[in-house]
Amino acid sequence: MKHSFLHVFLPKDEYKRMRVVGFLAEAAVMVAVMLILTVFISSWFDWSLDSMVLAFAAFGFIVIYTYLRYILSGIEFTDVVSKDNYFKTKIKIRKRATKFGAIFFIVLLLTRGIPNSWSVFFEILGLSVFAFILMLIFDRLSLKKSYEKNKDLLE
Amino acid sequence: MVNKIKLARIEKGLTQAQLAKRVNATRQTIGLIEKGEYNPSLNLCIAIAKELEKTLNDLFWEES
Repeated sequence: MKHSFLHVFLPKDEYKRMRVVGFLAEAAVMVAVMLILTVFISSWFDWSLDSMVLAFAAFGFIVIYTYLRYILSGIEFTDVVSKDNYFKTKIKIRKRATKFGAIFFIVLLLTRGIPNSWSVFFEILGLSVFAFILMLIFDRLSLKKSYEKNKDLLE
Repeated sequence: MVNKIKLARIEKGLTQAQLAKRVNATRQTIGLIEKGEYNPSLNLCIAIAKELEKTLNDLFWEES
């Protein structure tokens, strides 16, 4: 794996690394099959598909699939074993999600410019709150799965 | 193999977390190896054997 450019992005722990590579491979195979099916179906029904949309859909699928498999497999929080540690990590997760929401808000403000009406402001705020909630839900789910898995492996 | 690693670790007075830190793995990975749910690479096997002061045969060879 050291000879692959992926090496830089993969976790250091070998079990985690192997699982992530597996998820990426599954996603890549599914994308390849879906793209071939899309080509056949679009030629049969004479659809004209936007290549930009297809490229983003393929990329998005790989990212979302790998991320969902990662959080659902319970390999993110490998050291959370005790109840105490679980609750401490929950607090850390809330702080991390808040930071993420705040950064999302700032990035939106910078890209869209200072809002000139309340509706635009609330739209940016709403998107940031949505990002915060999504991040919180995914991290909490990942923590719960990791905690359950770790408890089973307790010394 | 499963209990041999766990026994050797306990014999050495190490927790899963301590052994994991010494072999550059996670506590979860050590737990999975001890439970027989993950087959480690040869490099990790050697690192664990060295830390526990055992040979690969002592830890990983299954006697018939």
